[in-house]
Amino acid sequence: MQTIVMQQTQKIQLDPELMATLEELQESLDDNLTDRVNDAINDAVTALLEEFNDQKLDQEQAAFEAMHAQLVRTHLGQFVAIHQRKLIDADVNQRSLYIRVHRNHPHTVIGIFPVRESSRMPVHHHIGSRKTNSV
Amino acid sequence: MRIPFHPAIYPPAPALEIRLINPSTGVYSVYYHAILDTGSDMTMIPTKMLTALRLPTMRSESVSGLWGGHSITKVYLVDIEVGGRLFSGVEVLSNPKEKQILIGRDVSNQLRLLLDGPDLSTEILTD
Repeated sequence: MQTIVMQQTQKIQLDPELMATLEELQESLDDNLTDRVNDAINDAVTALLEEFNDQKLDQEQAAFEAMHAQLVRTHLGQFVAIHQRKLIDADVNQRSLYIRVHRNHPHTVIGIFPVRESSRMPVHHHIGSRKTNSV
Repeated sequence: MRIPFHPAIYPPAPALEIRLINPSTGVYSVYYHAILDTGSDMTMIPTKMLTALRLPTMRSESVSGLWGGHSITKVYLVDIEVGGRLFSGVEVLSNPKEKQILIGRDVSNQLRLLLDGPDLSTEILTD
């Protein structure tokens, strides 16, 4: 069985009962179940990762808000990168900062925030109201 | 080059051919027929197109709609190629429900455009 070792002791693995059921079903069905099971696992894990990423982003956003007053004194006008609730990098150029922080963490959500006088979230206006052509 | 108005919208909407690029990896998308939305201050991209490029989110921001309601959406950073021009490090909003790219004024205000209504086409004018 393929497993992923995380932090030395924890393993991600399919429930043995599920595996046994799949093996039994595979003997009875002509269809190749492996691809479909892999697709289902990947879809489910993708959805779960999105949830984890949202959770991490909320955590970094809260950390940014908590350190905002200090950042205004030290990094006003810059973009700051927050990872694991800590300031890890800053730059006046958002793209340079983005590339730099994701070089080390290509798949991880890292909060990147502009340091403005106000910590309030800016509001963007999206007026687009459209009808889809039914023809 | 003239780009036909978007046929999936009624009345047809001005559109541009664009390509999205991940600034970190250089991985790029196919060309999309993107709708010009002069009512939006920022470009909005369907979430699926952004996740297909494996773009990590940067932060959340607030968007107000036609009737004043606010919703929170995620902000991503992408490079956008439009008509042979590269717009580097564009902040875009993601929309999980939208299927079309909506080009906002953050990008369109940097282009000289001819919107030819009777011909149902858009042209990027060169200097």
